[in-house]
Amino acid sequence: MHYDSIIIGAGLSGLTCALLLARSGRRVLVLEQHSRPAPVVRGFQRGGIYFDSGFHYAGGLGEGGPLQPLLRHLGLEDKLQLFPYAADGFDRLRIASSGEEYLLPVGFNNIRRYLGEKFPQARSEIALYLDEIVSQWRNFPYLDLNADLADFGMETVHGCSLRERLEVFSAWPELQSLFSMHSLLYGVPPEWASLSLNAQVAGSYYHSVHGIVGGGRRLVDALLVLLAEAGVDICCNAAVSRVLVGEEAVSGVRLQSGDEFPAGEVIATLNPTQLPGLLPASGLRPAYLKRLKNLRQTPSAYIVFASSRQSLEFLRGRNLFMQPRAGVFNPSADQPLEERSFYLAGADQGRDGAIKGLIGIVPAYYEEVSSRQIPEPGRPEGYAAWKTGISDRLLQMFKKCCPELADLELLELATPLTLCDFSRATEGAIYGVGRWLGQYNPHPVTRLPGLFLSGQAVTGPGLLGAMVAGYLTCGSILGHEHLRGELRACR
Amino acid sequence: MTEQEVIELIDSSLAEEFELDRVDMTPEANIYEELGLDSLDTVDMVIVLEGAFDFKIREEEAVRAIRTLGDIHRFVLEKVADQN
Repeated sequence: MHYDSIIIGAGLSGLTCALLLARSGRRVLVLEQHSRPAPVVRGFQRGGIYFDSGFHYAGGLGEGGPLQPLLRHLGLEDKLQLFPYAADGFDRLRIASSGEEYLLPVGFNNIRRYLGEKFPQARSEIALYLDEIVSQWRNFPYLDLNADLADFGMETVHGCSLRERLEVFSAWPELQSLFSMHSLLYGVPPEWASLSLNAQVAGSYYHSVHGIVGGGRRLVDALLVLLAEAGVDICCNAAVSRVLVGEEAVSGVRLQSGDEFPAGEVIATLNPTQLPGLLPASGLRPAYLKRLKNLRQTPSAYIVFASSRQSLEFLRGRNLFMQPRAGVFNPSADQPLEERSFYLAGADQGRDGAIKGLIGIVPAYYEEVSSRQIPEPGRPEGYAAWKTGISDRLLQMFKKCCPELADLELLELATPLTLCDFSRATEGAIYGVGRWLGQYNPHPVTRLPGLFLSGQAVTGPGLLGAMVAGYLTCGSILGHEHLRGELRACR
Repeated sequence: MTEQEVIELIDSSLAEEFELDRVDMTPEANIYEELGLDSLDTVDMVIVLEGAFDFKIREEEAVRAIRTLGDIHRFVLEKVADQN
């Protein structure tokens, strides 16, 4: 079988690329090394509860939001049932040292009003800050359909850092907390995150917040139906070992099994630091390969999946961000577990039933666990005991901060090693390569004709980042004006 | 670092990272037309120079205006002078 385009990786950006290219008339093959497509976004079932492991909640899906035209254009809008998060507070911030709590309401104006009432002395600074977010958050190709495509990303290389920008709120450390907590959703610490990166991610949630009824697996199922209709072939258990290069252009891929698939276009959605290992020595310039290898990953995480006998009503329609002390979020590998900020979400919401599952995410670092890295099967003897020890500490920590979690039972713990092995994330990076200040993230186009990149490293994290990455890459292949024209018709 | 040392470090770094032939690397050589770089290489060139000289390049306009190897020499020499 001859394919026009081969996509490495059946994650959200790979599947988005596959759909767009197939609809443009190409024969498309998606290769996925895992046994099923989109293993991270698909989530899993334990103890009768469905848990999301990649998708939790999305911003920008509301009326007039920038994700709406994308879902409509892909044909997903009619296939997904969305539910709005709590309008009076989609995220709750709790500060352990003082016991204080704040809710972040949905909508820029509501946030402005609520915070203005809570912090009257800071009212004008709050308004200025939110105005800046409003002016920046959609300033990205395919979110703003008129944005300049030439220079996108430069702001996140050279701009002002979030930490710097929040210095103006130093008299109100709780505001610093509220305005920096969403850095947990893109993994770059505020010192290294540009204000514009924070605006893109946090701003989308300030605009509107939704979950998907049935979670990430419904999104994957819907995409797979559309891909089948478009005639895309998806091959799982298919790990690519080589990108083949012919006469100065891509000519296909070779799998670990030895099978080869010829194709004139290869779109690599894997962590770009892994790409140089797939390319022949002469494929691309040393400068570029070195740049890919040196891209900085986001931190990893411990992810707790637990069940509760009581319904976790305090997490219905809103997540909880927990911080030990007020101030700019400042995650670091030096902090003991118990002093880290974390994020809690209720599993499988959007139905009327009780919320029996808890998802807890605590930043973690690969270097904390790398000494335990031994290829499965055959983790060292103390491994299970070590994991139990970590789980116990994390559950204790959750219960201490949240009396609502009195009877939790651990079902599963993902560690940075799990993220490494299961998600194939370099160093267990929870959001892959991040957009760090001073770092030039790769562009979808490479100098090797036919070789393209996609995935969150070229844009940003989340459903929004992955989908926009798909559009950006396919726009580079099919013509941006063509794709943007189609999207304009879907507004 | 003398001027000559700066120029040598620029040329040797670019030669290695972009697989250029030192014979072609005259100050008059147009990096795009004669040395075969293209717009996608510009960012890599910035990263190579940042790495070689341990400074950050934020002058996007100036980088975009670069045409010849001599332009790169002048740009880096100015930045090195500013640093001192």
